[in-house]
Amino acid sequence: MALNASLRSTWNLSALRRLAQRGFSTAAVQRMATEKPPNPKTFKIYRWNPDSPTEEPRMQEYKLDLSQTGPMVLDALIKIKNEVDPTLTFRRSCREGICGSCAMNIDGKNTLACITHIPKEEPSKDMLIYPLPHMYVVKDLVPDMTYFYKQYASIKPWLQRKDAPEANKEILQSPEERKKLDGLYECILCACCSTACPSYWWNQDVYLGPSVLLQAYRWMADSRDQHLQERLSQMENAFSVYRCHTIMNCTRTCPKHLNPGYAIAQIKLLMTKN
Amino acid sequence: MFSAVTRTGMLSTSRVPLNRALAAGTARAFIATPQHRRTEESQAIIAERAKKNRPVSPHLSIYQPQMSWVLSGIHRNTGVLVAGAAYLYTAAYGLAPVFGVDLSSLAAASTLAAVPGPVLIAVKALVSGSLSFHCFNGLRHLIWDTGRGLSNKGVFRSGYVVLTATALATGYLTFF
Repeated sequence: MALNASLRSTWNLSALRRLAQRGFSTAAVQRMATEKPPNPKTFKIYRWNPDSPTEEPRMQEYKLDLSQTGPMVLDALIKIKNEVDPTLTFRRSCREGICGSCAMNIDGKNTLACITHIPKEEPSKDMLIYPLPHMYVVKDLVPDMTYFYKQYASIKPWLQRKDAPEANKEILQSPEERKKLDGLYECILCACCSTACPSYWWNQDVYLGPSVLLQAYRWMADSRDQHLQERLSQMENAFSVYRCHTIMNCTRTCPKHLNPGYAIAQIKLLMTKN
Repeated sequence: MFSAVTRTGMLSTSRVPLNRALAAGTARAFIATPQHRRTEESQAIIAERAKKNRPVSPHLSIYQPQMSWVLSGIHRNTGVLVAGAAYLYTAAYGLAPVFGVDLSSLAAASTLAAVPGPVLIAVKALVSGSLSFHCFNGLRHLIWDTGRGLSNKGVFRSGYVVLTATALATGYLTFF
């Protein structure tokens, strides 16, 4: 807001210089909010340090004044890292829900810290923050995503053709065919849904999980792709897709409001038809 | 200031990490289709993580109870209970004459008549509740398998329908 206001009102060199000096620090937010009454809130955050691997993971408490903090959970985490405890480790990048880096378990739900408001209820409840559930922890809120990405690669997430298109010609698609990809292509692979799925918790090494299956269906549903049979036969086993028991935690938790559970049901239907 | 979180991400006192249990083959003895057994690659990645002594992040114990997974858990447990009771009773019925025990309907009825009222009601409620929930939720699963009702709204609506139907059926079967 402060940024917008300064850009709108005085578009001159001094304003730009002030903006550059101020940068994106939390200090700017602080200056804005000095008038508000204090509003303390406790954050309990999962900590584990690989430098002392024999130490058990623990929950560490941080107290913040919400009147001096930005509105989102990521703002609170950045404030803690900047001003309280620089050892707190988490992934973040875009701060607008498009990169999927800050996926974590906040108050029991998997979501993106950057687009989750800090609830300002009275009296304030402690906020619990864990890494994505049932993942190997690299440090604090950073889970090891290696295997998740390998699973994604295993479904060959690219256009596969049997015949090459004519030289210098696009492969055309009707508006109806394109419409089938809506609700699929928006997935940012944040893994919120996969790590919310109890089936994925217990069978992570063999079950592909909702996120990867939504992507698998995205290529099955693409009218330009010609490898539907190969894609389906890859799923023809007891685990890859059939470990889905329609629990629907995936759709419930998706921060992009997509429907992985529906996509998996479509894969199952395609498999019975082919 | 600090409170402990278990390394396996579970509340239980078990200290065997899942990866070690998997590597030892104790977690599940499942026959997969040939082309998709656990691959050497997946085993290698899991073993490498275990070597780094990494903990598994907490899961079931910290996840918010939601209609979706709570009902799914109840469905599985009632299934085990109802099927288990049916198998056990059938087996016992077949074996009873060998051991000279009378399990005929008449004998069962007279045994139940001797059970005190509140206990009988509790047992009837448990059995009829499990059976009716599993039946209604089974229908819900059959509808889902056709690709219908798979939205947040649909899942919650059908969930409330199943719970209401279960309550009515359980009440009827227990008291009438």
